[in-house]
Amino acid sequence: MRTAKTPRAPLGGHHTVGAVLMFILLCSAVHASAEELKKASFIPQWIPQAQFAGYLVAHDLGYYRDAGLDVTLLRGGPGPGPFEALRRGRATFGTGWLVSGIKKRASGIPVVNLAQIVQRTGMMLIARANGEKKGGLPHDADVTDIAGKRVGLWEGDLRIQPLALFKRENLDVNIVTQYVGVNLFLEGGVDVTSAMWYNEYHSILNSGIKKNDLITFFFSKLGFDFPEDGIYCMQETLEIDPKTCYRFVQASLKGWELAFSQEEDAIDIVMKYAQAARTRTNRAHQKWMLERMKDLILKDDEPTMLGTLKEKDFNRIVSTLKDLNLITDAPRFSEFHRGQQ
Amino acid sequence: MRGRVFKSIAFKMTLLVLGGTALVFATILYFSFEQSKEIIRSRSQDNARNLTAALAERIEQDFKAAEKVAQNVAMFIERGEVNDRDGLVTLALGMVKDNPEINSAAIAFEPYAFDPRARLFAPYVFRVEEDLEYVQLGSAGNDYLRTDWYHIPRVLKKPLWSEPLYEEADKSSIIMYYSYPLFGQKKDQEKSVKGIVSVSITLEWLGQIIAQNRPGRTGYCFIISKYGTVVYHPREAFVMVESVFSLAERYNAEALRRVGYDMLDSPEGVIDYQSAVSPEDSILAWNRIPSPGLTVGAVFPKRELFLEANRLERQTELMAILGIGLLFAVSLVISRSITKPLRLMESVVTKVKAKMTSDKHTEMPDMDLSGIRSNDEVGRLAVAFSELGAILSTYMEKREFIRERYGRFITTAMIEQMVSSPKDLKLGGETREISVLMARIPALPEVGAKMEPKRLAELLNRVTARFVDNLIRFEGVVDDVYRDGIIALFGVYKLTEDHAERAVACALAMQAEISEINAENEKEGLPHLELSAAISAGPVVLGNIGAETHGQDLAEGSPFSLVSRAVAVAAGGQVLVCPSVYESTSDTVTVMKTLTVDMPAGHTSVNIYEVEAIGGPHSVRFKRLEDSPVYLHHPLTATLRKYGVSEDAATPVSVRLVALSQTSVVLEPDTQPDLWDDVEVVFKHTEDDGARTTEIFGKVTDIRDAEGRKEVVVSLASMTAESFRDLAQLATKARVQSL
Repeated sequence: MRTAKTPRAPLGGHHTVGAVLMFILLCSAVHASAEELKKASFIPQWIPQAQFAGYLVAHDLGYYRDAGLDVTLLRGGPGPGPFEALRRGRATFGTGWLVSGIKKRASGIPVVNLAQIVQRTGMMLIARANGEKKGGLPHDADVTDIAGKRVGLWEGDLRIQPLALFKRENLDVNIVTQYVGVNLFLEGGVDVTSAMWYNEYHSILNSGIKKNDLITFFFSKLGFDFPEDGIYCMQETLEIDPKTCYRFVQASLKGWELAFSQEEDAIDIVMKYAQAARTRTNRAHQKWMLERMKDLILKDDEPTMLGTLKEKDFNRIVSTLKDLNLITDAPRFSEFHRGQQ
Repeated sequence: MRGRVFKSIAFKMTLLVLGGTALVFATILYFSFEQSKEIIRSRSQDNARNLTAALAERIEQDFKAAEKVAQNVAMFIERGEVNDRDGLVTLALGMVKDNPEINSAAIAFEPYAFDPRARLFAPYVFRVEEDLEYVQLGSAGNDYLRTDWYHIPRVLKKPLWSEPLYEEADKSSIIMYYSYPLFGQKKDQEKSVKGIVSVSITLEWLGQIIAQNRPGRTGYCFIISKYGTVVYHPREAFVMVESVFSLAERYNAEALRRVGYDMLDSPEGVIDYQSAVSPEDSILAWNRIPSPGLTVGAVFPKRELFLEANRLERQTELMAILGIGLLFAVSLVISRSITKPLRLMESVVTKVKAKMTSDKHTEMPDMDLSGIRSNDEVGRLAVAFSELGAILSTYMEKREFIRERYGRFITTAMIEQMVSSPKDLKLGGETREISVLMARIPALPEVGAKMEPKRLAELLNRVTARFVDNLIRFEGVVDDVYRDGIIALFGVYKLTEDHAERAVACALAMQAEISEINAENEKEGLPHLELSAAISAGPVVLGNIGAETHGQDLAEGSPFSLVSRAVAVAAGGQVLVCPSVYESTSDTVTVMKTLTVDMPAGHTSVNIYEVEAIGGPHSVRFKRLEDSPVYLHHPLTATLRKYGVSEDAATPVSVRLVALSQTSVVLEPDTQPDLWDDVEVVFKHTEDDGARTTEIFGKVTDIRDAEGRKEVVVSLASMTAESFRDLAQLATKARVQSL
């Protein structure tokens, strides 16, 4: 028996050092000659997909370089996440959920929100309608019908909204931790699964389950419409080099604007980055995702300028977090959101 | 000519026969091809089904074998036969080593379930080319608890094949895990999972099997997972990237989405299918590989399946087209031969028609159809046609006869009416009440004999034209023509109730015409004419009336005999009607005087009425001009003789002409003539320009006593223009002398 040189772990399709290195090399090769440019790195929460179309477009079309930045794209995914990367100085900028940002800041990690991109939540709960399999909900189910069901929740901050909901509704549910993908739900391991509207919901629909055979609960309609992805950096980064921060945000917003105005081109770019990262996604899925991101970013009851965080959204999250005893002291809004600078 | 061909029976027949045949052909061909295609399709479906079933069964074996390995090891562990680290590692090694289909094996435990001091324990053995390698899972960065192969069966508490996924290290082989839960030995409680025994197999061999079993030359097989992910497909770009449903979405192919649902719902199936990706009609068959829940599908393009059938179809179509062409030629020849007699008949009819519509007197065309020898319907038609031709020929001869006979006196229109009114023209046996008009221009032949032929013809044409106009007007027809007159019938060829009125009116109108003609004649130096007319009515047996009138045996009381007697006593300008006519017209006619006439052969006398007008719908009035004779101072010597009789009976006698006018003369004869005699009077007289002889014709209309002498009144008939002028001069002179 020999010891493995490179351990081959059956870990179900996530990053390895090799793949990440390749990806970084590929991305940085594009701007190898940018000596005058200010170096920066960016880490999204997850693998390259349309959820990050704006940044991929900005990177691919040279918006960052035009802004005087030499941005290295780091691959996100399961693991410590962007806030940890920011804290450790592995990345200059990163995306993260608003709820996570507030939590980090409240826990003493001085992250600042440079721009709030996603204004609404794509988080939802999905169950099968009755008649499909055991554990389904009636067709006219409301959220209280979840009581007693096996409910798949992600780990970490992704379970804040469901837990807040269960608490508010006083629902006793059988929580099952769910990891990546929708197979646990498809196999019947849970009756109700957590899902993102732009991702898992579509994956389920494209796994042969008809839309009418699903019951969906959108947190945006359940009183937990938490804005999601925003651009973060360490407060220190902002204080030392506000210009770079500003330029990074502006180039990213420009990337989003193009992604929404020229969707097919944006999907081409997303697919290019996804294929480079060998994520095995398909175009239909990325198209769906981009369209939903457009809904979540642009379709707002109170439209604001792209990148703005509304204080009432901030306050609503703070209140939920306090309610769940996840934070004790709330960060000050003006210190947290530095989008105006 | 072209149009004629297309309208011909032969062409239509050919077209109909051919159309029908083509329709039958097409129908038979259509059904036969549909049938054979159905058979091919059905067989192809069977083949497709068999192929996928065989593949599924073949593939199932390997999955089953892998399952068995995991199950056995799990039972082994659960029974506690192996419970130390080395034993488990050896077990894991054996699982891979002894089972070539297995790529890796793991015996993974719940946290602290194997060793309370170590959180995780999971020996993992995998193949690297020909060798086996071993690692402990659970070290930092590869927490197996979060993987589907561990997590899902653990939650479900049952064995499970994972969805296919790429092996992490090189991402070139697709693998599937079979996970078998290890249960704890707690008796009273719900059994808890204490670990998972898992084996993986790579799916490369699947691709090989599939590639070896390609359906046809252009068909292909594929494999999808239980959630529709493409696991094997000839288009590598789809593999592990697309699902049936993502492709359906990408290509906006709702049909593909439905097919996807069908394939996931039903363990097997065959359908007609048009791919969204390469739009070609195909047969799609699928079969489930039960253990891993994969589905193997086969696509048979119909183009290939039906290649032979389509080729046969094209050949048959070509043959059908050629056959129909041949049939067209044959049936055209046959139908032309059938319709040949018809064409012959058509040409004959066309000639006959031309003949019949022509005014020219030509020979009746040849209607010989003896060339038609067939004895079918057409032959019989030809025979009937020939017979009809013979009848028509006779009819046409009769028509010519009528034309010849009456053509000079009556118009074509009338002849046409006569020959073309079968309703009215009932020949043979019918007795009908008619009127007979006899109109004479007495002495016309005698006067005419003295004229130049050309002038005579002019005169006759003038008279005839006027008479015919009147006959047409009053619907009479000429029955016969004799030396100085005609017989016309009313109510014969056209049924009329008022034939007597018409006849009377016609006679009066003719008299009026004569007056006008005389006025014209006088200017042109043509003779002065007098018309005497008589009408009778009575029943006659319709038949060949002409023959009857020409015959000598006229029945007593027949309108013909009466009218001939009456006209014999009629003087110029008179219209006489017999009692039968008078009875039926007394309400409308105006009678001038009544004559009593003896009938010949001593029979009883009858009253004859002179009429001068008729009222009612055929109203005509004619006032006869009667000049009273003027007595001469010196009577003239004249000779008198009958005319129009035999030479013996026409011995001249001397008479004295004592009085005269332009319409009558008064004579004193030595030998008395008979009343109603037609006589010629010749006298000499001297005028300023010398001596002259004047000839006049007339009828003895009165014999009277005048101071002891007998005077004979002669009403004058037609005479030459000179005579008429002479009479006028003499009368004027006498009138002057008498003043």
